[in-house]
Amino acid sequence: MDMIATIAVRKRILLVEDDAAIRRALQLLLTGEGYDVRSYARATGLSCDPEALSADFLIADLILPDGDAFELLEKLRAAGWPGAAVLISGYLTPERVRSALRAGFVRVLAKPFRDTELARAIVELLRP
Amino acid sequence: MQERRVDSGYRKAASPADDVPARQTGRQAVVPGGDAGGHAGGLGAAGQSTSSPARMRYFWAVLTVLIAFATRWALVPVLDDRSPYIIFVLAVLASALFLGRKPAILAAGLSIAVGLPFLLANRASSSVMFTQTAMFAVVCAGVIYLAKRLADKGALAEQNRAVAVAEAARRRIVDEEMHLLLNGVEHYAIFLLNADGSIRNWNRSAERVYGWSADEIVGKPLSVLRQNDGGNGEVGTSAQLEQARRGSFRSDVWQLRKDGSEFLATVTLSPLTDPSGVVRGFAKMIYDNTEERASRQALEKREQLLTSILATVPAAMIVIDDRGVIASFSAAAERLFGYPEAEMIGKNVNLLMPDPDRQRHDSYIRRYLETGEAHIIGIGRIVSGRRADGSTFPMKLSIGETASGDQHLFTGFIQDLTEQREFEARLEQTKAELLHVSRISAMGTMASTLAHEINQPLTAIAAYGEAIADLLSGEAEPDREVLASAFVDMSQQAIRAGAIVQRMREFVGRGEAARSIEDLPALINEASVLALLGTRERGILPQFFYAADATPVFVDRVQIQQVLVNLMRNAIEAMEGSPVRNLSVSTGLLDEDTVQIIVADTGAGLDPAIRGRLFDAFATTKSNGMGLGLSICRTIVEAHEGRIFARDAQGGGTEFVFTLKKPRLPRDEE
Repeated sequence: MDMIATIAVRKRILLVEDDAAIRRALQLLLTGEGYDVRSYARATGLSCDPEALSADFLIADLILPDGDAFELLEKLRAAGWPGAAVLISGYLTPERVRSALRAGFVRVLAKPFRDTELARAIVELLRP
Repeated sequence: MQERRVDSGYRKAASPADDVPARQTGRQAVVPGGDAGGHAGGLGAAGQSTSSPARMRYFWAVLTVLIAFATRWALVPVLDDRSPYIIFVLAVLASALFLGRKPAILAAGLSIAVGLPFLLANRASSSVMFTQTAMFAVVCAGVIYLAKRLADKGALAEQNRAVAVAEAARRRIVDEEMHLLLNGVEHYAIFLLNADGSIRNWNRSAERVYGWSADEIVGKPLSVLRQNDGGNGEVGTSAQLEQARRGSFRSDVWQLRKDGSEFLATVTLSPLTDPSGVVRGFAKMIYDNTEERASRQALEKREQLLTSILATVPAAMIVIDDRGVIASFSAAAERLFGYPEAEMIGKNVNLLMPDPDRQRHDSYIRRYLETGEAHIIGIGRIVSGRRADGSTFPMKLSIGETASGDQHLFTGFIQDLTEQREFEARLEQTKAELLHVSRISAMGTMASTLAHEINQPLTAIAAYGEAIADLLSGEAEPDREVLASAFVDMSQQAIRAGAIVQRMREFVGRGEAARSIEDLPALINEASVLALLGTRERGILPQFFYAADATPVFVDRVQIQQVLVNLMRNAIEAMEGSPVRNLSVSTGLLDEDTVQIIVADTGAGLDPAIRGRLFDAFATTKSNGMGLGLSICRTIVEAHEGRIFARDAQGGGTEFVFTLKKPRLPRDEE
């Protein structure tokens, strides 16, 4: 595969999801699509971690063991992170969706979603 | 000999001494210790002692003796004749230690000679003198011997030291290489665990992979390197170690980095056992294969998608190689031909063809590969296929060419035309039925006219019959000529009726839809018999103009007569009420193989309301007609590769024009 050859220009995705099965499946899926994925089970310390801050995108589950996705995004923004963020959750309500968009998440995906939905969401984020 | 073993050791060692030849190395090692000359002679090959250093040694030996002599001589006032040789022992000792055995022996001999004056100055008894000399000789021998032993030991020690140095150097290199290996590779890490599973050592590669530094991680349990969330069915750390203890453990396991991120790795745990079989620890080797797994998954997904799409392709698909051997046989192909895929793979595809294609197929492929000319590839053809039960059926075959790696492959898509053929056959049959029915119907509309026309001759026959009977039953002798002509007229009337019946029968007969070469004028004349029934009284004037070259034609006789009857009767009806009633039928040659027939009337002309739809089905201005006549005419004419149309005639009226084909001369079919 040519993925190794394009390592220099791969986009990095920060994936934060506490359900191991979902997290690992998404990591493999997105790696297979050609992204460099850093996956975490919790948000602690991410806003100070240079590896995390160098990511182009964030995909975060709403509910995390040590906080939630909103807090994480806030902290990342406070640390100067400019990337686009996608929220995923199995407990979306219209109110939550609105607050997510207000908080700065560019897309909100309800679990369970198809592989293609997520892949397409990322591709759309890539467009200028 | 010890020296030789040292040689081979030297050659393997990485020490700088490696580049120097063995002999000199030995000398270098030994000289600081002592007896160089003798060893140089004993080392390695024979006869390397160079002569000048040896000569020099003898010179030095002599010199030491002379020095001793001078010293003893200087000490004469003090010592007189006591201890004449003792100082010479030093000379011999010095020679033995620094110059070698032979120079020492020379020194000893020379000392005895040179020391004699001191000895004789004594005037002691000869036995005393002899004893002193003898003792000196013994002492010299002892000194020389001991010096040699000392030198040997020194040499040995030096060699051992050199070997140790070389060994250490070699080990250092190995260590460095191992260090480079363990620390330099990316995505791999190898490190050691203690017997209880805690981390024993670490290196930069492991640090790069996991993020932990050696200080942070050494001593910690192995489970630190994994997510502690139960692992969804992955083997737990202690279970891994257990398996490793019994043999080895190897599996894909998700690993955890210091910063909390995860990656997938192939983990191998190997036990390290000592000679007595006790497990002292483990070696853990990991390889980060997140990417490989991800791309394999993506590939498998794509493959599944492709396979499922191919499985749903409704056309039967067969893939063969350049020898005709079947590589793939789709589900639809299985159904179509009646063989399961497993049976077909590996067999030649000509199994599915009837003769003669079966024998020729291999040569078709060969011809294509050699010439590159496509007769079916990319073109598609209708051929016959042969099912498992032996039956053949028509099929449309399209073939594409493809290459996969070094393999030349052909993909064939097969469309079963059986149903289509049946459908077409039924359609033809229905059409023929329709034409037939319309003929019958046409006759039906002419029923009264027909009845009248047949009745007339019958009536005439009856009249003649009665007249003849009267003549014969009378008294007078009947006139033979009158009788004869009466019978002749009678039979003519019968023939006339018979002709009409005959025409009718032929007209309504189903008839084989067969085309034949027909003389056009004769055809038209026969058709007009029916068409003109009952027109004499109506004052219609029929005219026929036949061009000599507008014949013969290749047509279905009954069908074209159907067209003529239809057109002529339409013309007759159109002239109802017209002052001039001329019906004309003319033929002419339009081009080399096309004949044109014109049926013209002098009637009222075409109704503008229906002009555009003249030949459409169910288009009619008649109150009692279905309006099928002209559409059927068009069907028949177009089936004969002709055209039919209507136009206004000059001077009033309408012309219906249609074309037919002349028979083609036989020529070579391609």
